[in-house]
Amino acid sequence: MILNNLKIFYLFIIIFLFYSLAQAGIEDKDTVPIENTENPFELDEETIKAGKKLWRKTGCYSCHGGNAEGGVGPNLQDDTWVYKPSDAMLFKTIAKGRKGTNMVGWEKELNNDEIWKIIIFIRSIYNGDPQKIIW
Amino acid sequence: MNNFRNIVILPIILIFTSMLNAYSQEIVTDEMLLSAQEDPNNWLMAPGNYTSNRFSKLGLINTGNVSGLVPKWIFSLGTLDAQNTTPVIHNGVMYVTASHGRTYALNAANGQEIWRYFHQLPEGVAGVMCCDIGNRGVALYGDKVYVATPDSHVVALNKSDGSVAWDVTIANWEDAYTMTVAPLVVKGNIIVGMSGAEYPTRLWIDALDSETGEQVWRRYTIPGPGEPGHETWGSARAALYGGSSAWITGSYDPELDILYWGVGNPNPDWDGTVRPGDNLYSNSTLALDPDTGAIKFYFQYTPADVWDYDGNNEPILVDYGDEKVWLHGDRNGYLYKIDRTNGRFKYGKEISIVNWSKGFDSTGRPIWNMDKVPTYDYEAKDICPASEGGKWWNPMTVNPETGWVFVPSREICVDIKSAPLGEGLNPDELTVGKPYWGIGTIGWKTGYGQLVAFDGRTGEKMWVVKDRSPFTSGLLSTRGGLLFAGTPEGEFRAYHQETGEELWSFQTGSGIFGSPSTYTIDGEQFVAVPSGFGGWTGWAIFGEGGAPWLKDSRKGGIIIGFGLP
Repeated sequence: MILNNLKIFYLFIIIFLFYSLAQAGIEDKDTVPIENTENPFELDEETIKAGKKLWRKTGCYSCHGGNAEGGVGPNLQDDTWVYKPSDAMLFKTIAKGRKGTNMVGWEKELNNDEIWKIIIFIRSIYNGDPQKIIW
Repeated sequence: MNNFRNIVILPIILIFTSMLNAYSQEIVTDEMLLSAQEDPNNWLMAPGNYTSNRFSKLGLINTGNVSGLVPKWIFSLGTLDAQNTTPVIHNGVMYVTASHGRTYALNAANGQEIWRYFHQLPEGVAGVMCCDIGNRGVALYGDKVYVATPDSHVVALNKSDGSVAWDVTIANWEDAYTMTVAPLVVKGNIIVGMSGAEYPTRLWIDALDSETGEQVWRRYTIPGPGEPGHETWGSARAALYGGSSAWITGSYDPELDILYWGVGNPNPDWDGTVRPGDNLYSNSTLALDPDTGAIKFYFQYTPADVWDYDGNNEPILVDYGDEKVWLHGDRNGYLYKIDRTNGRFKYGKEISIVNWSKGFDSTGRPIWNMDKVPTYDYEAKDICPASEGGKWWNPMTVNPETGWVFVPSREICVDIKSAPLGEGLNPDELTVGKPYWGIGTIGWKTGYGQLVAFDGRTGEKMWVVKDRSPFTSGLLSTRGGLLFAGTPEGEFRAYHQETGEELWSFQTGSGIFGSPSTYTIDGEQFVAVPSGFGGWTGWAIFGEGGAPWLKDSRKGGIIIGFGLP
């Protein structure tokens, strides 16, 4: 009986370990937390101004240009994007960077709100096809 | 006894001798570097030879047959972004870097990979490089290959297999001290210079022991407190953060025993208000003692720069009879001839339209046109040339047999207004590791590209070839009468040196921002060129855009080896 109880106990431990490992795999560090898939800020003058200030502070302009017209990095004003420019994609790119490109992650320097404000600034200068706006 | 000698000792001696012979063939000696111009079968250093003239005495491919030139092989570099390298060749093996500082050894006859070295970069290094994550090539010496990496390491690789012999850290990349330079070997020392003048930095040129990587000397490009020239910055703070990079490979005159090395722009790039004075030794060529790094003399092209006329560009050493000079095409729009025995000005001739200056005084100091000086309150319009020149960083070439110099150039102008911290594009406060340009507004005007040929003796312009886009490759001239040049639209072309007539062209698939080199294998001449769009290209699209058709240009990353059918 004791032996059976021990077997059940060990079985439980093994199942628990497998479950934990599976969860660790699912929670990829590049996954955007659920709360960061939608911008909590509005496209208003104050947030745009704050976003532009952060754009300057972080030095985004050195690759993307003063008004994101492009340079070393791609133009962010137009509607030519490699990935659909959803809020979640933009947040993830700024926070984590893009592997295989020069875009590095800025999550150590910018908190979530700051990233969202930069995204508001990027949205504010959009001059592409209005039909392609997806946010 | 005789039998023992014949059977045992002689074969051992023969094997040992052949091993020694094979080993010695793999060694690159000081003598070989000193006579690199006389050895056209190899291309032993990024600038070709110590004069940096990028001229080859090969003429197997020439004006008569270049129209038949075809690609013999193509090698993928495995990275995108700026391919700024010059392929280096020794004994049929090509040593070449890709962007990100990756290094390959290839069979230069067919492009097959022999070994590779991928320097593992820290996450984030691209975020402190103003102008892409390019690399300009390797140096060879002894049985080693030397490469400088974006995260400010200098690495010695064993030439035979690419294994690491030593790896030293030169600076902290997180503070935006980075490296893109092709090292130069002089008298057993590895000479390298720093990038990072778009950030608050104080940069330098280093000499490292080729065997160990230990620092032999360091020459800061901005004088420290108490040193002559420190006062030219207006304040200790301005000098401490004045940039003045050194990312273009220098030249060496063994007779004079002088190392010549260029120094780039002061930081902030476009705001002179915070650094009143000439800002020594920004925008200069330094003449250095190669054993100690001591400055023998210098020539400053653009004192108190407010246009980002980043004077890093190469000095090419030329002898016109007894006249020993260096020629230098500057981003400020002038071609300079300077006495290389003492740094005295000989002439400055317009490569492109120049309106920021009204000429020179007798010492070669430019006379400013105040209408073209941007300030916090004044937007200077139509400044010519724009910050990239004139002549950008891409190396020019000199044919020492004719004395002609060929310059990759452009006619693009710019509007600039500077701004203090907290305004324009600037951050609110100066922060180490963050870009600081001193810019309020900036907009490039649409222009065009040109190749310009001069007689270097007199500075007389011999011909100009215009093209839609600026010429963004380094140039190569050969005894075959050819001039090779590349465009950001991917065209690799051969021109007639005497007339500028286009004789051949090949579309490489992506923009050319590196430099060609040439060599032979088994009597066959090859011309190799990297292709891969990238680097600082804001000039093409900011504002009206200097060349707006280059927006969203396709990236790439290949080396092509061309030869005759």
